[in-house]
Order: sequence, then C-alpha cells, then structure tokens
Amino acid sequence: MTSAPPRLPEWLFECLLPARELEYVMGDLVEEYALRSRRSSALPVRFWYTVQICRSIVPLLWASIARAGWPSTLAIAGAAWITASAAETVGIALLQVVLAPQSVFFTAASAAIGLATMAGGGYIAGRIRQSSPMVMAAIVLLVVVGLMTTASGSAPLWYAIVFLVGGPLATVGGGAIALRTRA
Amino acid sequence: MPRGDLLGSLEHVVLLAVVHLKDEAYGMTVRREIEDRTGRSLSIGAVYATLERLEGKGLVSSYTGEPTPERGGRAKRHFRVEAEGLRALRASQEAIRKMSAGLKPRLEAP
Repeated sequence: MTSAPPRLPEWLFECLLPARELEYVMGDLVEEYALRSRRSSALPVRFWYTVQICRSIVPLLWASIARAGWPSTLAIAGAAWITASAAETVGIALLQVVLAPQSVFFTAASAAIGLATMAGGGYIAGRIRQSSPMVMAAIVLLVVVGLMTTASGSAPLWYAIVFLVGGPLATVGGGAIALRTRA
Repeated sequence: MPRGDLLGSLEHVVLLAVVHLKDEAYGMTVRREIEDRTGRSLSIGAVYATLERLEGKGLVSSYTGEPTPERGGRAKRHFRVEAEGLRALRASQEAIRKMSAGLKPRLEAP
C-alpha cells in the first residue's frame, strides 16, 4: 500500500498553473510517486515529489507565457499593475481624510490597502490571462526593489519589507483565486 | 523546421527519447528514459516545456489518452515523432558527426 502524495506542493501547483498543465503533469507525478513508493520508504519519495514540483514551476510557467505570447502577457500584467496602483493611490488619499499620515495606524492601513489592491490586480490579470499574475508579481517586485533603493528613508523598513515579500505574494494569491474560479 | 536551424541539446535528447519510446512516450516515461540512459535527472516541467516547444515546431504531435485510476483519474498526454522531427534529428546528428570528425583522439583522451 502506498501513501498519498504530500498535499502542500500539489496545492502550490494548483495555485500557480493553469488546469491544462495540471492534468498531465500531476497525473505523471502521481503515477511515478506510486511506482517509487513501492520500491523506497516514504520520506525520500515525498522529498523527490516535492523537489519535482518546485523544479517544474518555472519551466511550465515560462512555457505557458510563451504559448500565450510574451508581448500581450506583459501588456496585461502591466495594465493590471497600473490599475492596482491607481486604486492604491485613491485608497490612500481617502485614508488621509480619516487618519493622520504620521501615525502608525495610517502606515499599517496603507500597507493593507496596497496589498489588497495588488491582490485585486493579480485577480484581474488572472481572469484575463492565466500566466499574467506571475509576470505582474515580477513587476511588483522590481518596482518595490527600485523604490527601496532610490527612495530609502521615506517609509519605515518594515513597510518596505512587507511590500517586498507581501506585494508579489498578494499578486500571485489574487491570480490563484482567479485561476481556481476559472477552472 | 528551417534548414540549418539545429535542435537545442535538451530538444535533441527529448526527441530521441520519444523515438525510443514509440507509443509509450508521455511525460513520465520520457523523463525516466532520459534518466536511465544519461543519468540526467530532469524535472517533469522541463520535459513538458521542451515537448511543447517541439510540438510548436511541428517535430512531434500529441494526443490525450484515457484517464486511469493510478494517475488519480487524470489523462496522459502521449507524444509521437513526426516526419519533420526525424528529419531534424538526422540533420542534428549529421552536424554533430561532421563537427566531431577528426577529434576522436582528443575526445577520447583521458
């Protein structure tokens, strides 16, 4: 009797990849997992399975973007990022009406608005093109790194770190929701 | 495939694996065939990305098999080599043969 494959890496795949890729790739991995489980103990097989999934994400995403076309994918991701950034600007402007800009609450609330709008942008990008949220996440990462290096000192360090990690994650998360609702 | 447009090294290896496997060529078997013959452990994602690129070039074609219980009810995507794929393989092998000509003593030296 073989144990079931680990659920967490599988979930990661489901969040990031279109259903088209999932069908064949997951089927192959589950089949080989069962074969390996008959010959080895559970731990190395689970490790092999997890490594296979982690190593497969980038080439499959790359293939998915290439199939859809780089220029249009980039354009969708860029447009979604601009939309999200515009919504973030409006949200923070409205926040200034109710909270003092120097307060910690204002900084925390503006970070929450920023992450929520990036998640919204990722969702929109994912609804239009399945591979776009990852490209948008890369744009978010580049912009945050750019802002951290050129405008350092204008915001607390924790705020920058929240955006550095949370910005791309929120974008991918929004895209994952779009992917799951499309499937 | 345009003349003179040679296969990349991964494309070459994956295409050879599809030729070896005949009707049994799908992601997992292609990955295992390469690992067994060369010792190179590819990710299943890299194999599918390469197969898709080869399909885009018209060198292989694919069809969907029936879902099976051992795959959790998921279907296989089978691949077969096309005549253009065999031509591309011959051209690549020929180019390697010509480029290797006269280098045998150096290549086999310890």
